Amino acid sequence: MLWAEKYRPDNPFQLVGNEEVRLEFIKWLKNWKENSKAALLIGPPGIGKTTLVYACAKFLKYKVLELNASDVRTKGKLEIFLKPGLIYSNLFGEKAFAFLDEVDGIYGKQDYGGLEFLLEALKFSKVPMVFAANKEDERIKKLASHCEVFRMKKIAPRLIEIYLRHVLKREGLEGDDGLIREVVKSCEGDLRSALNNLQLAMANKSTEGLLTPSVQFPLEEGITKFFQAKDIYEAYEILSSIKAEPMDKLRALYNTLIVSELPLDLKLESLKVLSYADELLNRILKTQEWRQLKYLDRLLAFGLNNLLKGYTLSYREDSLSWPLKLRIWNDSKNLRDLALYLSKQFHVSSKDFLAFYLPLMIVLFKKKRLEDMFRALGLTENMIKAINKEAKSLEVD
Amino acid sequence: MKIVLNEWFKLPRLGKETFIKLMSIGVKYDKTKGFLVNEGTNLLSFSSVIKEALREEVEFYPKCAIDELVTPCDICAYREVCDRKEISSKCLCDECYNNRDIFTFYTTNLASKIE
Repeated sequence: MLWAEKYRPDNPFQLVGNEEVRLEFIKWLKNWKENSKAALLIGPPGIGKTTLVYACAKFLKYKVLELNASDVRTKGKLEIFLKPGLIYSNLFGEKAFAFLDEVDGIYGKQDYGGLEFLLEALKFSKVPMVFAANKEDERIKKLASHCEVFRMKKIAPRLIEIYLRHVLKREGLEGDDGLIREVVKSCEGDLRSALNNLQLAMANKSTEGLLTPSVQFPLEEGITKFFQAKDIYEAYEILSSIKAEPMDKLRALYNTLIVSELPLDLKLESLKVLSYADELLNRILKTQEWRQLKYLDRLLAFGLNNLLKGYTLSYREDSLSWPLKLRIWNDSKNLRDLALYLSKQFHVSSKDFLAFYLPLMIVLFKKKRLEDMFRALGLTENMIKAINKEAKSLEVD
Repeated sequence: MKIVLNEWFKLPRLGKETFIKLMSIGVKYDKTKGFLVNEGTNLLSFSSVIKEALREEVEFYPKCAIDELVTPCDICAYREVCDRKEISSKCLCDECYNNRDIFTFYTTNLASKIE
């Protein structure tokens, strides 16, 4: 388990840095009345904004109605998730407050009235509302003008050091002074990054390869470094520092693995990991649960790093020729069209059709020429050709 | 110019415009005590406003989070990587920093301020 999660403080006094802001925030929550302003915590990542909110909730015995603003952006969705919680002053007899983390993520082109709803909600909310954002840009100022703003800054190195020593003590480990200082110097005031680097350094017994939080790798370099990582923690750090969309990362990993010289069974196992990740990513895209993205990098890092120990791969573009790629694309398009069309006829989902019905159709096609029957079912020539091609590639008679 | 964070200080008359600028970046003002730069102040902007008005570089000194003593940065091992303008205003003085039970002192000290 990552130490940053394992040792997340559950008491607002156990954090380090931003002492005055923490005290002010506790006072704000303690003294909150129905007409008080909402709170907006602004500060760079890794300094404890979210931790402070949860620790204060525990300290003052509040329930947190959490909504990661990156999850649900539209007015309609915010209304469904938040409104019931905001109009009752307590939840099953317990005090509660609404917390919208990463609120800067709400103001993209996908906002669809989310900001307007929040500004409206501030007027009718009967519970405290807390927002957290990484940056104070022009877009967030509109919200800030309706809130009590708590600005948090990076943490002083000496304070980070005492926190790291505290964690080592709880782990029952003895840390070398030089190693701890190198870790503190690498983290640029970001406590989460310091904890990740400390865990990495203690596992490797070296400060080699520590990552600064601002480091972001381009896709090619990041994928190569990912495959060279010494352990899962380093692999995870690198993967999450790659400056690319999740789907592009997944594609780059796929391309690199598919053209690699790995033994076949290992390649198969690695592709299975990618398949799980692909499934997770698709679910995230469908449900807009962006918060789950952190598990995608973890799944890939933990899965692939363990599996490919001892193999060094470098980023590779896929080596398939353009005409071949085009053919694959066309065939898969025809099969998709076929699945969409026939799944309706058979009253099943297109997924079930592809999994159970299509293989049967292909075997039937191999046994007997059934073009006429397929034509009678309304299949186009392209669809029939696609089945024919699959049947030809089938080795079983 | 040396400025101790979280401690009132005096400035020469800077004119209305500069005063407004200072207020807008989170500097506090009290007629009798003077000016105060704390957690909520944008220290980067403060430095540039003072440099423009007084042609002087500003050096910030933190106070110890435990005993409130001014903590000079000269002998700190992290001096090169610690940009005071971007870091929260308090640090640890040498005496507290070298205490073996510092984490406990630090947490109980802060807790005592609210309870």
